[in-house]
Amino acid sequence: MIEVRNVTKRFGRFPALDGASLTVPNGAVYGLVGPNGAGKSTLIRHLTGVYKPDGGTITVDGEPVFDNPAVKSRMFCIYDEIYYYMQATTRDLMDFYAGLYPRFDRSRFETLQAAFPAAGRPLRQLSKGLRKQSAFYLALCCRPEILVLDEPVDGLDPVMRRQVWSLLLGDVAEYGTTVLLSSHNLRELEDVCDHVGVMHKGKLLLERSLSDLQGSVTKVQVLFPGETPEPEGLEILHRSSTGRMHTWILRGSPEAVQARLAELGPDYMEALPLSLEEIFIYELGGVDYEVKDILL
Amino acid sequence: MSWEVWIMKSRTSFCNGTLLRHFWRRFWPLPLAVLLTVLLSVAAPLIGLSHQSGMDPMTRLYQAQNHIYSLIYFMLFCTAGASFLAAALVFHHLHSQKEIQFYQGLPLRRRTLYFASWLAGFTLLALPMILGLGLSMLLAVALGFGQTVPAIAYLLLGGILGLLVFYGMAVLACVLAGQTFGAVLIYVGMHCAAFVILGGAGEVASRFMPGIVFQENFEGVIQWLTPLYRLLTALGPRYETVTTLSSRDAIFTMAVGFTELWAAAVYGVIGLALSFLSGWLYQIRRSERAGEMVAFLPVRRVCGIFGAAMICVAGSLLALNIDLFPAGAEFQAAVISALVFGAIGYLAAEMIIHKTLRIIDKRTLLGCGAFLAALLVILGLAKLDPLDRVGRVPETGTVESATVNFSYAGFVDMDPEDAAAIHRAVLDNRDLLAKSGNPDGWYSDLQIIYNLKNGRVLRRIYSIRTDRDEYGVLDNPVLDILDETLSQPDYCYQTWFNPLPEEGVTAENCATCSMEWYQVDQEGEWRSDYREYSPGDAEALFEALQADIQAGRVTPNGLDSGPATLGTLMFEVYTKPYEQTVFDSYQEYAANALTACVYIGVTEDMTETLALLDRPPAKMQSLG
Repeated sequence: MIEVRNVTKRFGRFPALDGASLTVPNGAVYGLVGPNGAGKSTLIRHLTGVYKPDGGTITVDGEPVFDNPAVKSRMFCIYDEIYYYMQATTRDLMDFYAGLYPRFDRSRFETLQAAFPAAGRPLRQLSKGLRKQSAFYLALCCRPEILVLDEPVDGLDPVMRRQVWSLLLGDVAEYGTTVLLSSHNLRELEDVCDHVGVMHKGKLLLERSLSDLQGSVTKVQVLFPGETPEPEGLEILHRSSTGRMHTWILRGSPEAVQARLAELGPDYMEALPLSLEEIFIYELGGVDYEVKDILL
Repeated sequence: MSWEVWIMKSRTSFCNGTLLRHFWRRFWPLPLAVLLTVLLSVAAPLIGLSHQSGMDPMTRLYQAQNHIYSLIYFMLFCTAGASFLAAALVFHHLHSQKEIQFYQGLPLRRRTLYFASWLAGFTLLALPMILGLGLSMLLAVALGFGQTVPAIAYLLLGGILGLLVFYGMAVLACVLAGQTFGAVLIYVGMHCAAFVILGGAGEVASRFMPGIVFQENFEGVIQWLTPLYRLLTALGPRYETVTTLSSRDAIFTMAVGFTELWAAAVYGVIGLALSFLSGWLYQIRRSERAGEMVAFLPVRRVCGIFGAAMICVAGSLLALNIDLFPAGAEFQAAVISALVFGAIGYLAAEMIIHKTLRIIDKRTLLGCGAFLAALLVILGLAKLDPLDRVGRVPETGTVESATVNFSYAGFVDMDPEDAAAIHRAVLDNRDLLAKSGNPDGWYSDLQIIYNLKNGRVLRRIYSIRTDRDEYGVLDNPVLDILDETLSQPDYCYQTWFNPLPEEGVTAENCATCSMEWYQVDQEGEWRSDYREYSPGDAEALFEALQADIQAGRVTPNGLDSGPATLGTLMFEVYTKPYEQTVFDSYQEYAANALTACVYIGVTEDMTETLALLDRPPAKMQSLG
């Protein structure tokens, strides 16, 4: 389990992290979302032991990360901007990582290479997307227990995105790999994550499992005969109407909400699927943040 | 097999072979270049020498030996540059955000990452040096130059010691800096800051504190803080004079070792210490500082002040040397130059450190003000001279011995009272001292050295005016007292004959003796007549000269107060017999050469001498 507790970090006078706390359970796929400048990449660099926090702790299964090769050897990170030296090829990096990561699987590299024939070419000759593919293959060959991804599929074509997610989720299912990935796009995380955390101005505003989130807010369309009653005991987070058809977003599980509304005798009632974005908008709307500034 | 049953192998705590191989694979052209350079500079000339025909073995050997030892200068310069290149390559990850997250995200301790990087950079240079010189040794033996193997070994030792200190400095510069340009500035600063700041400041102060030789107070410090310079002197070849077996006239000066290998060893230890310091700094360094000019906040301030001081001193010297200010305003010139260039230096340093031209704010202005105020305090203290260093003439009771050096007179040992009298005359006539870098008139340096009884040495150097009639300066009390003092027989003798051995010129030690007469005919053409004398005649002439000196008929060397010179009498004497003699430096060899020459102008007053010389014909031969 990855635990971040009250981590602070200042760059000069600017507080990049301001008491950030999060918990990533083992085997989870955790999506860290937030706008540009929220501190996602900074937090990731702390998680991978590149930065040392000014305050707070960062541990993996109780062990601190910073300057701890035992912990770092269980972890692999793909950053948003991938570094490669001038004459490096994917195969050169494979040899390099194989010497550093104890679980590196060369046979897996040979298998993946069939789908990635550019392994022998210098990385500087490859496009951004191909370089990212190369980084993914190397990451998977390291067989890390924890995979940290910063804007992971940025630059990949849709086919490759699907392939990468398929491989990643396959590792999660087979080996229980813990994945933490950052993005500023909720729609992208919706399909893969089972935990989500929202960062803003160096803090985690909210972190919840997806099932908890989806079980706590319900969207319904209702049509009442005559006057529309106010449902007692239910908190309406958002309401909109088209003629007599009302669309309500209410706090509560779908079963509980529908049961309560049924008591009001609607002519028509249907529960609609909520996107992650809608859930967050209405979850965070109550705390008076400029939500539109947080989420894209 | 599930990953849970994999055994985590522990890595070596201080090094990592994968990382070492990684750096060698990336940077292999550098060791190849070093190897080629070593082979081309050491082995290739040996091959060339071995093929030269018509050269006797002794000559071939001494040429090979001298060439090998002289290579240390080339090697030190190359090592200083290559050390920075190697350090910048292996520690480049500290200067790039992308690179630092790549390397410091690896499952390695920071100390492992540091040590592996350090070792990679060091071996990139040391291994090809060892290999190249090792191959050169084998080649030397194969070509019949086996006696040069110790010389090559010395060269290797000197090169490795130089590498330790230069590489240590370069690594420290790379760790302190957040980008490569900053590392360059810090590295160059390490090499020359002491020389520029202390030496330059002393030069500026000497403009308004006449006589004070600031550099000598800091000479040792400046040298030790300028490693390249100190190593060039410490590893300068030590020469030995040998003779051939066949001819006493064939003299070889052969390099046989280094003058101060111990100093190079000290630097080697310092280099290792710097590397350990860098290792500690590496571990506490904040990775987010990659890309900034200086990665440690306290060091930023120090670098800024040093940079500002260097620009201030260099600019002030430039302004003073191009005579922007009138004579007599030396202190004002120094103050204005220091303030102007101090401000420029401070602001320039701030711009470089913060990587922006927009540095004018309250904090910067306050800092600049404080810096300039400090400069004013230093200059003011120097001018006020609270310890009266400028006007101080030591009490003769505190002086063990004194020496005066003036013009061609050379170093004359004299009574402390006489030296003090000359010194007081200079201080009482400061208007006769050179006022600027390029003064009108004729000037010569007058140096007064007091060896004090407390073991210290007090030295003053004055540039005093020496002309009288040509520029209408008829009254020159300094020249008057110099004339009067140096005319004393003992001093006069020293001005002419200091290079001679204690016995002077004798029939036994005289090599050659000659007299060259001069004459200007009515057409203005120079004519001369040359006569040689036997060693026996030379001894008699020398005794006659001593009689003339005792009688006060000889003008001291370097003073122009006597009658016109009729010609020049030359004595060449042997100072040492032919034997193995070891010198600590080539300069010392030259000063203690097997022969010494002295020249003395002969005038009409020197009657005893003239009586023994053959007068030339009335009309001598034309020099044309």
